[in-house]
Amino acid sequence: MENPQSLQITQILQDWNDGNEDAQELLLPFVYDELKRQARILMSKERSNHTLQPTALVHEAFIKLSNQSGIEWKNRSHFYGIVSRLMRQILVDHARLYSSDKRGNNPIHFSLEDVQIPIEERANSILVLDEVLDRLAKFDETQAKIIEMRFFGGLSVKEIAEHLEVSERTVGREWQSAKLWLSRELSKK
Amino acid sequence: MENWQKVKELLNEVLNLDASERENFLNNTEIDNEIREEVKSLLAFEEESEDLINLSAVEFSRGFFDDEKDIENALIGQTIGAYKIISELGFGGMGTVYLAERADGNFSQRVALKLLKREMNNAALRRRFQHEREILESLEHPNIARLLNAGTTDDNIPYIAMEYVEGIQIDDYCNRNDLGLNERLDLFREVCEAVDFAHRNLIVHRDLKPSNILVNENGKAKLLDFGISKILSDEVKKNDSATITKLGVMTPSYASPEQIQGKSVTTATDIYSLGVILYEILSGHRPFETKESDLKDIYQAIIETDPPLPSSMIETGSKEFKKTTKADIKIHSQEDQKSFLEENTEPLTVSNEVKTQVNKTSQTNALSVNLSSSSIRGDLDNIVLKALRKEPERRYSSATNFSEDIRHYLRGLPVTARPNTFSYRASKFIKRNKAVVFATSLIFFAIIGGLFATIWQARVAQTERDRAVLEAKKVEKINAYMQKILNFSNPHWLSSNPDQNRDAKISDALSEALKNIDADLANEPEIQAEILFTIGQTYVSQGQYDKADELLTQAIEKFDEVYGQGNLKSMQTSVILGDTKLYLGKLDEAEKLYNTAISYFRPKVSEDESQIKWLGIALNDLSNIYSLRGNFQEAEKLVQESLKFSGKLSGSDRFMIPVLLSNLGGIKNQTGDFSSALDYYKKAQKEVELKGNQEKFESGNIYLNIGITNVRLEDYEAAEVSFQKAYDILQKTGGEENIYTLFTKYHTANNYYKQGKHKKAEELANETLEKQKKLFPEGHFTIAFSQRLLGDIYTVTERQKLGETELRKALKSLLKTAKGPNAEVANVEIALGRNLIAQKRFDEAKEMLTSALNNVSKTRGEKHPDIKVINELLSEIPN
Repeated sequence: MENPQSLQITQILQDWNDGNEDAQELLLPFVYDELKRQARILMSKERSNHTLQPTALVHEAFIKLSNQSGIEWKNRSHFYGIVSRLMRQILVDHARLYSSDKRGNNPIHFSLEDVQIPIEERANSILVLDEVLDRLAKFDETQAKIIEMRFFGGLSVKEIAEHLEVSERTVGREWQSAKLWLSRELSKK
Repeated sequence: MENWQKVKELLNEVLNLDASERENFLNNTEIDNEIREEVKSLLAFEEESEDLINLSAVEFSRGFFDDEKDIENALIGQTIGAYKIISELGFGGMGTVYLAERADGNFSQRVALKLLKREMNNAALRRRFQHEREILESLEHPNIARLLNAGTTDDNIPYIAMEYVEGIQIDDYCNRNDLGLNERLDLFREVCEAVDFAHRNLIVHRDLKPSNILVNENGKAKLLDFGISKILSDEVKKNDSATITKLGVMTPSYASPEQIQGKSVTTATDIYSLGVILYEILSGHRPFETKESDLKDIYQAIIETDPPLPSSMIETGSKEFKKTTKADIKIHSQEDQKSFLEENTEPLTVSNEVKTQVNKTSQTNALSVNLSSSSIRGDLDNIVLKALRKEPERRYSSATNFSEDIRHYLRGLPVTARPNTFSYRASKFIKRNKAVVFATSLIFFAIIGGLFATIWQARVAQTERDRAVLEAKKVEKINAYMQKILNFSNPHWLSSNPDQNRDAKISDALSEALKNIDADLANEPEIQAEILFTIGQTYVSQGQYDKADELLTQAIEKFDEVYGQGNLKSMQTSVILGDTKLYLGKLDEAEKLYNTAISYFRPKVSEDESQIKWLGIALNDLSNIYSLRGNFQEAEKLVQESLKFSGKLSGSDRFMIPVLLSNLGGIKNQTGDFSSALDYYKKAQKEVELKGNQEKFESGNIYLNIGITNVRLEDYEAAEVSFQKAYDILQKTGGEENIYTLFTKYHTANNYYKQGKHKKAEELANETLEKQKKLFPEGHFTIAFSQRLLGDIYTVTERQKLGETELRKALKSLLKTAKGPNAEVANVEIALGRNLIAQKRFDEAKEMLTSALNNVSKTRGEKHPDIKVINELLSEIPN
């Protein structure tokens, strides 16, 4: 019955609705818990096929947060964008704990097959991706944001389009050229 | 990259081409060399990029969190500042708390070391951490866990070191040690002192709950966790770090109404939480326990419901209590806390606010309070409930006063706490019901407006039941609402069986309230009158017009008694009473009431908007009486006058305007001026849309009326569209089985009939009739309408006998309620005339049509097209 956090979440979300920047950072602990939970669920589940959609983690985090806060969330896509950013931050922080000098022979694609690669290499890859994304953001912020939301937030093209207030087709196009660029840059590493 | 935009554009073009075309395309167009090379370079990765990022980061990062514990535990044995970390006490979203030992010097001191998580080390959370530290610094009290030290680690992570309390939370402590009543109260008074100390230092704790109050081996209570507390005087800072002070990590069960509503939090908030804690210590229950996990229920209860007496909880729910206690202990004990965290796959249920101190004993024996209900009944009930008042200003003014009242109780002295009086509850009831009252009259008019065009000739008294059906949902809500207000949630209120009580009707609550009126409010005729008025209104909204009649009449008498003959209150009541009489069919009495009100309000229209509103309402309602009597000319004049005044209204008071416009349309319809009727309906619709109400019930009603007028204008296609719109809205807002939805279906069927689609018409008319019969009593006018339609259909499809049967039924029903000339009766008479002519029973037909002619000309006037219809039929009769 009792949920010690919900009122806090409510207030953070309200603050956020009201445009308080601090709210983003204050939300971090909650998103963090959600991320860990999802990670735990994934560990316990055997990945059996390739048809599984990328987990819309942010999506679920949103539903949980807004359900528990009991308020109507004004700007869902805003939430998605910011939480994707938080996810990136958290994962990068964790990747640092595991990273090593050890490097695999092949560039990592962040694809299903890569899940089998040792954790140190994957941690390295996350750090590399983080750095490459920073570079991309310097000349194409939108593309960097799309990749962030797609990969770190697990968002669908439709949700990304809503967040950026562009058509899904535009997102698709940007995604395609961004991937080409990313592939090339990652292969240099 | 300078050329990136161009590169992208080109890339997109090329990617759309077949592989064979690409080479040509790239070479043939006039492309900057650099860009071409870049595009080619990127295209080389097309295949490789296909697989890129086809999963989400969480999936990719499997295992990143496996060693979470190891990372946290890595700190064990490490030294932070002057402290060596021994073990972990607890963790949550934001930080981790360790048991640590001060290693320097000769003495060893155990501390609770709270450390911000590495990942959480951002500016906002650091500020919050800092805030807690500042507050603890200013609070040195034997009953508050002290701050010992604070600092940052080498890698800049802030920590605070606090007094380590080895103990168990206060409610468990009481039960485990089987404390008696006096001991429990003494212990609680210690907590009050600690809270009062914080208050005197201008600090509000904001998160008081048993798990933040530990009792140590020596039986001393220690207050912990000022993590979300607020410094009252710190206004400047409040703006600076608004979220920090605004944050409430309150546990819902202990949160005060103002916290939940986001209102300003004062020391009274802590008093409330203390009240909840005392409630729990004494009764083993929280004031608002709901079985469902729906937080909204708890929130709503905290805001609206008066808690049951603590003493009553001891009797009722000892079974449930065991469950609750067990769960609580589980969360708050150290070992179980870990397993709780690990087992729990639901996110966000883990306490974010780290338990800084944890009890050592972690037995999960279910314990219950050993106190008897009778020992708490009376003064202690009152004391607890005084702390739990919804209004902060009605609680104890300080924790010391709270504590003092308990001391008085312990010494057998009189206490200051008193139960809420009936008169208090009654005035509360009135205050809260103002909104309901308004909503009731709004619906009232919307209904008159909507059905007016077609139904008025049937007697209004008939609508009683339909209204009840239509309003069932509304009434249900009002029921729930008023039950709360009247303290109906008290399980002992009506019966010994709380479940049964839940079904108690509002009328029971009302009559119970009425019983009390004379005795409890003997000296307060004003409140008596208000209650009579409000309850009378409620009866109107429930369709219980007889009761409403009685109460509203009494209310007028009382108002006159208090304010003197002819006052605003009694005049407003007169209008509502007039409506009631109208529904009851007592037109003369209604007319008198309206006229009295009108002559009171008319000279006052220049005073304020409220007078204008009531004058407008009275004029409109009076016009309904004239319409009912067939005096459409006078009726129109009245509505026009009402409209003239209402036009001056602003804001939500303008709700009347579409109703008035719609009523004008209705009058025009009755007199055969269909195009004017349509104009009025369209204006009404515009007004509705202006207010964004186009999906609301009233809008559906207007579409219905527009459709009816379309039919009269023989624009059947437009009618079909209008009826469809009406149906969509009415069905959505009122459901399938309600008078208006079914009425729309009837008209749709009628429209098919007019177009010669007899089969379709018959099917729909039959379907509608079946549903109406289920919903309404025999002889109801809407049933008569459907029967009339079916009769017409049978006549034209040469099933005259069948048709005559239906039409006779319809006529019988309508004649029963009609007094004098009646236009709806005429409709059936016309249909019967047609039927009888087809049966070649000319004499009977002539008689029928002559009566119809009389009915129409006396009500709708000589110019009405029905006159022509009747004359044509009459001419078919051979002399």
